[in-house]
Amino acid sequence: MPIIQQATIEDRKRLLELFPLANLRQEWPTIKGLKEEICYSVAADATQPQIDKVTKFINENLSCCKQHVYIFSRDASATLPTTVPHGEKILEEPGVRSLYAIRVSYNIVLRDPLEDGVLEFLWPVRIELTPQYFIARFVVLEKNPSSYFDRPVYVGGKTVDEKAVLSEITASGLLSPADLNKGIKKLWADGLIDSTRTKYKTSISTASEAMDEERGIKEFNPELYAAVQAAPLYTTVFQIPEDKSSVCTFSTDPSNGIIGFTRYSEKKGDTDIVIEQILTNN
Amino acid sequence: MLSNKFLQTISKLVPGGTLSAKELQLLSSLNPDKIYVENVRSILGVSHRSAVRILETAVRQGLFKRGIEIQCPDGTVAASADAEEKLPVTVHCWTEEEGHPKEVELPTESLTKTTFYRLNDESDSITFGQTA
Repeated sequence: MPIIQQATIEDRKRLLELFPLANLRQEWPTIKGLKEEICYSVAADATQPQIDKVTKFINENLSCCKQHVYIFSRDASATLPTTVPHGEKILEEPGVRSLYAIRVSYNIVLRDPLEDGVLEFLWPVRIELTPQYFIARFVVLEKNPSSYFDRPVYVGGKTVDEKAVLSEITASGLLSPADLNKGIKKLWADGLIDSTRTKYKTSISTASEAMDEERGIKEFNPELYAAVQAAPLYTTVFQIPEDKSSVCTFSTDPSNGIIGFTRYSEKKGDTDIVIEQILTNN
Repeated sequence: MLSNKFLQTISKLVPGGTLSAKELQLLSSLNPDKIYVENVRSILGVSHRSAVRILETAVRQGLFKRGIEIQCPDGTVAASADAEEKLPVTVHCWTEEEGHPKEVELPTESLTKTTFYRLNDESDSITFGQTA
């Protein structure tokens, strides 16, 4: 895993900053301070045991991060990629899952005074295989570079994005976006989730509905709920009751096999469970 | 269903002093918990100013209560309250980033506010014609 060991302390610090503070404190309880200070302290140690620990931490805590998840139906011969664009495999459980780190460079423009710059991130991506599905999970990179500088900054572009990575790993033709409508609608019918906003297809239009004050469609608009049960769902936001999961909300585009976790979740594995429940019922 | 008192009040305020059967039916079908000026304006075919006057009269008579709601940049209602000072300082909205929904916390003062009206649940104790 040289990509992590050979990275700068700042790169490793930014990588760790993608994770929730509570999880960092739990893993490194003796390091006190703010998130930035904890991440810097961990990142400053580039010894092999520390790199191994960081890699294990990424793998075990990725499920708590903000994520974009792409789910593909797979041909039986589809395998885990040996590599990904601009990155390398850093951990593998053969035939089950692989963890990758991708190097992303943001071209930025600083103001006052005007100056070009580059901001680099190590971007964790995990790919998982189930008997039926190929699951690509991207940790969401924060889009606010201002926090890394003490002056105004604009992002001009970046060297690699999710689309480019997905394009390469699906180039074999053995993968196609999974249709998650059945799994999502089953969880919705069972009362495990309710939607606050949805986009769906009617026979003559693409309709969308956003409930006032994030009320649930099933609870407060049963006519709409009934109508969308037979419709293909597009970008839809769901809420999960707090007593059922620390994943309070997630977005999905069921017709294109996409799930988005827009918040950190407190409990390790809760986003795994959401994905698993959708796929089990699909 | 809107109260008879409200419908009678409107009758007194509309030009001509009477409501047609269709206007009565449409007004009666409004959600009593969320009535916008435009609902009343369009049903009665009056100006915005006249519709506000009708609704404010209903408030003064204790038939309706005024409310205010706050809208996210995409038009979604994020929160509502009886008065502006009772609105939360920030609200939760959704935006889109690279095709994915993203949650944002926005200051209420920066967002559009809309006045609405709702039936006063306690209005039965107020007799028709009495001002609150």
